[in-house]
Amino acid sequence: MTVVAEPAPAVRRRVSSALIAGMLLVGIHVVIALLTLVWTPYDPTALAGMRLESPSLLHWAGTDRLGRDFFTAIMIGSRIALIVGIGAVAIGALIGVTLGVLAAFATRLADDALAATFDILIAFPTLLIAMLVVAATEASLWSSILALGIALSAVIARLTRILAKRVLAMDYITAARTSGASWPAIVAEHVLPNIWPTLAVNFALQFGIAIIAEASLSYLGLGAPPPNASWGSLLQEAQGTVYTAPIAAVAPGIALVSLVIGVNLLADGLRDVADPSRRRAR
Amino acid sequence: MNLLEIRNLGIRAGDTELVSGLSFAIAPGQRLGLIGESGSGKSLTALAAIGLLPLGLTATGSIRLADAEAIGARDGALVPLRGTVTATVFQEPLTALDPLMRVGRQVAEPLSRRARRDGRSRDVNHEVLALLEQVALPEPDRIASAYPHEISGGQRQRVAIAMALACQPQLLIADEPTTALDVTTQAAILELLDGLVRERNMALLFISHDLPVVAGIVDDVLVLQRGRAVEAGPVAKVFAAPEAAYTRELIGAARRFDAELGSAA
Repeated sequence: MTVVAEPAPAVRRRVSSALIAGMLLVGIHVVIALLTLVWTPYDPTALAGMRLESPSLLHWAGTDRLGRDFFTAIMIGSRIALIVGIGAVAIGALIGVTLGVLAAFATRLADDALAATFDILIAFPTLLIAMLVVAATEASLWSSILALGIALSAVIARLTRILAKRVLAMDYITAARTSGASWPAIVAEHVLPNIWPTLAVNFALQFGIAIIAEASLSYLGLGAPPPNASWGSLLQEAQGTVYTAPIAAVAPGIALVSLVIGVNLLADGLRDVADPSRRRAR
Repeated sequence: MNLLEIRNLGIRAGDTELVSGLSFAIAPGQRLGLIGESGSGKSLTALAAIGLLPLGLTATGSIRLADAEAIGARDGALVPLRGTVTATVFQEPLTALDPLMRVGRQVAEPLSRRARRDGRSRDVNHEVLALLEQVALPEPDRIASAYPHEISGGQRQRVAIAMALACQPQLLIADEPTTALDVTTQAAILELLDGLVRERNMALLFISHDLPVVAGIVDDVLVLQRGRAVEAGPVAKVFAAPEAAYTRELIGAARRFDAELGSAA
């Protein structure tokens, strides 16, 4: 008995540690993001010290080349990153899941056409599509969110289409249809719940991709203008002073990586909770 | 009026004929067995009857479901007939249940659909438990809150039967409902189906390759070979004096199998 019973708790502990680590990392960013709404160590636009100060007790990450507190900027970056990630994934999911489910239900010709469109869009780098959309609109936080959402939607649509097709081929769909369920009811009750665990994990990956892509857009000067500076803008600014003040390049990078890793760990942990067949002992 | 009337049914996949020239009818309360080996077109016939042929297959001829022509009908026109005229129990209960939905909700779904159609809205929880009890599931409360992978194969098939009953159909289509089960569970499920069909005065279309199983539960049989009907008639007559060579072969094989079992025991 003990020999058989032993591996199970070990597996469960590993799963939950990923979940806890993810929640912790994401939680820190969420708390910081919320905190910036009511309080920051310094006024983000005020000159709080000398130019390019090194990290100190007064300025944890030093000051930028105008003398503004850099830690304050990074804290605000958390808020921007979360808004970008959530916004882009929400837009991408709305467009992508809708098109993907439609493609799964479509006649063969329409399905082929949609699938080919998804593949062509995916062939373009996410960043390139986003740059085109931003170029067509005015560079602002919202235009980059919209751009990234559109860029992500193709990947989400293709994944949704494949997952939905696999679910639609299952016997329980036929069973539901034989008992008189309509297609909208089948989508809501069977298709979406069954593709959700896989989609959720993918959304988290896309969340990370969106944040990194936004940082790249900002780095290229296509992101949101100050004072809503994202980590990407901070990195761009740090470029000129990377030898004299390396902290300005390192700190936004650490913030970016910690959030992306946190989201991925969280997704991994959540998938195991969402899928009851992975949850063995009750 | 017949619940299901099939005339000269043909099912094709491209140039391959899977079923051809098949005709039969099921009146209210009648029990018909559709027999044949794997690939003889039994299940396709059942799916065609409710307009759910897989993509790429086409049906010709005439299928009248409660006096509505099913061949060539819009899917939307057939949706209201499915579940009210017919309900289906499938072979493999594990895949016929949604793995991510608790058993109770799966049974509740056709119940609330039925309730909505009849224009009444009510709490179906009580009905779910009553149905689970009717299909002789122990501890209905526990089963209702379990996921399909947490109960046994026989229990899953009972749940599938409960879902079919929830529709209150006039015709129950059972597509090899006992094939995936072991022999003792098989007998119990057959007994349950037999009792429920009698109690509710449903018609039954029972599909199987297993002669003894069919013989015990239906009045008439139709023997299919490669998509064609080779013999039809009352079950006692067909089994006692089979006319077609294929039927004799099937019965002979079943007897030899039983004899082998007997001598081995």
